[in-house]
Amino acid sequence: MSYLRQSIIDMAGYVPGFQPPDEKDWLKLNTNENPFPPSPRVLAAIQAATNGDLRKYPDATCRAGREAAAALYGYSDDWVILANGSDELLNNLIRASAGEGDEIGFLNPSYSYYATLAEIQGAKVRTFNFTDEREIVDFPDLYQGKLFFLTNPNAPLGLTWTVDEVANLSDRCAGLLVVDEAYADFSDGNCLDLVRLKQNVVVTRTLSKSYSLAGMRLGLAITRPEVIAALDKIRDHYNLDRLAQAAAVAALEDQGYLLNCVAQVCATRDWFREELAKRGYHVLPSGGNYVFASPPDRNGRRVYDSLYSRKILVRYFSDPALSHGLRISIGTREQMEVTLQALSEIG
Amino acid sequence: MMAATDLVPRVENAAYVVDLANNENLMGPSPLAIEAIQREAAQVYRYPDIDGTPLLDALAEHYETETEHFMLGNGSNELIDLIARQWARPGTEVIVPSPSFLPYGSASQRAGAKIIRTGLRDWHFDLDAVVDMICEKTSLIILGNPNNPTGTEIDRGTLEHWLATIPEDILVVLDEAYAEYSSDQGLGLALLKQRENLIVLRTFSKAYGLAGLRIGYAIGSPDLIRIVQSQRQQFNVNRLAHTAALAALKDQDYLLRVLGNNVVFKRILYAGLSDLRIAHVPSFTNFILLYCGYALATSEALKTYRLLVKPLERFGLHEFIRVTIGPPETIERLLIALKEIQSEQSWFPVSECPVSVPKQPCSGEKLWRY
Repeated sequence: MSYLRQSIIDMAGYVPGFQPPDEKDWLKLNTNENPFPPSPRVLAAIQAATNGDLRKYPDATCRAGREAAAALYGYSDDWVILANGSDELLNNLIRASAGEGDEIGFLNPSYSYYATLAEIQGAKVRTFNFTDEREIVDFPDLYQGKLFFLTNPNAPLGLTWTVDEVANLSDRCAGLLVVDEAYADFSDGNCLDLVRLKQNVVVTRTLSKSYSLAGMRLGLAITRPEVIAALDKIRDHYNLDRLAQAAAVAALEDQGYLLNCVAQVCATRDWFREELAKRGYHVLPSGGNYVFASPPDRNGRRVYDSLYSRKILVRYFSDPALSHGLRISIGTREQMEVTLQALSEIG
Repeated sequence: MMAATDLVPRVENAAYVVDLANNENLMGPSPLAIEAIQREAAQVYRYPDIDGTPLLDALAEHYETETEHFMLGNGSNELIDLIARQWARPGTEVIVPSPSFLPYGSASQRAGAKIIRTGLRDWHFDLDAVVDMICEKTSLIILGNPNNPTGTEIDRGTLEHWLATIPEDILVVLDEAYAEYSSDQGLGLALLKQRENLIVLRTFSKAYGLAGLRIGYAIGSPDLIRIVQSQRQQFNVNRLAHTAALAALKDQDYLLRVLGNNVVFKRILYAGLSDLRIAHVPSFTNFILLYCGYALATSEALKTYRLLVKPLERFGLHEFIRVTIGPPETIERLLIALKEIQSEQSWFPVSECPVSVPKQPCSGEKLWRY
């Protein structure tokens, strides 16, 4: 195995999150999945595409999907790419911009998977802390890393940088600024317009969260045509299968359904946050479909364990900077009432 | 030569286009796979299993070995890419016996390695030439068996003997995309018992009829599989692809019907080609290499019959087309079309009788370099 990169041999590899074996007995509020099913039009499109044509290769360019996304976001087709989950885009953006030994940056905390992807590419990582007021600590006047990921809204904290703040940040990045808008549909604003205004901005989206299509692996990016062209060169040429392509088009075209689901989740989130505050919890304002909540005693582990024993699964992070709280995904109003009841009992 | 726009149907019943260019299974997937997708569709809001463990377990049971020997890819294309990224690093050399599936070379090239191509001998890979090209920089050898686009296979004894001569530190990848159609379905797995540094690739795109779902798998030692796994993104295969592949794998009766049909279809096709005296390379797959004198002109002419085939000039085989083997009505349409083209066009040769295997064009890397 002398040909292997040392970085790969040394890698710990990805450790998947906990999935209970008897899933239906649990209330799962740990993976930020949408409590509502996908649009009925998506299911109809999948059913319609499930026929003998599955023997045929899919459209390698995913043209229908690109057209649907371009129309929705007001860009021309060559500013859009669809992918096998936004993870594929995050991975290929690193591969496109950072060579082995180059540096990329992101915030701490944010999506922990960036570090894994950097490690695969052999890129170095630099992380920056930030305050509850969204001030990024010690960020240089001009960050020289090849790429900077801004998860916006932030996961797991939910904090959301304004368009002006992101525009300012893009001016301070010498490389690409990738605004990972996995949860932006749950937020008041987004940075799509910045792509036109700023040369180095890439916006990525996923259909896993707001569109409830985590099982289909669909993500997309909006950026300048030259970056799209690079991503097209790098990607696996049949990266999206027939059913994923059919689902993407139907989902993006059914905005009425999306907006309705999102409105319900956001209303539940804002109500849940107030209820938690009444119980003495500190909860950051969230632009996502989750909240980060700290109990009065700042002992996240205790509350996590107590919820776990009641078969309610939330996300606890052992990282000392986060161990004072929990990330709780927003389910239906009924599910959150059950959760509040449990939290009241736990105290 | 006719332009692609002159698509005037020339036979009465040729109202629809038949695509014989991509080696897809024209019978389609098992109906059980279709039903399984329909049942599972409502679950697409949930993330897939991160590794596809239920399918890995089923594969382990199918091959009577352990789950740790398997991993899934978003088509075996993704697996080729992941392997290339790790083994085809700048400064290394990758030997690609050719002509073969184009991504072997392109993925390795993209990863930064130098590509060394070796040729054919009597339509089979010249394995001695591969050994001759090995040097201290060689890190990877990628071999398709049965091979696309030749349709030929190398027998177990020959491969065993050859593998024993390959230095242990070189990874050999055996792409068995068409193994189900071959004469020795257990070949790759048997070779894994002989050699540690070997990865076998399989796919659900061909005999299982699921090209549209992008799902393939790698078989190898747990150590090798772990290394390839470390390169892939999480959740690389979606939930419906997992579901369909699992149902397809469990429907071995359907697979046997597909394979049985292919044998019968092939026999009908061989008989027709003999009648027309069209030389061809005997196939161990679901496609066949035909000698037609002028690949591009023949494929353009076939378009006027609404038949799509693959001209092989990109593989250096300028006089050959590759055609998917279909059911009898498709074969009949193909033979009628070929007969007319042959009688009208001077470049389309009439073979001697009995029909022989066409002479292989001169081998050597200059033909296949791209």
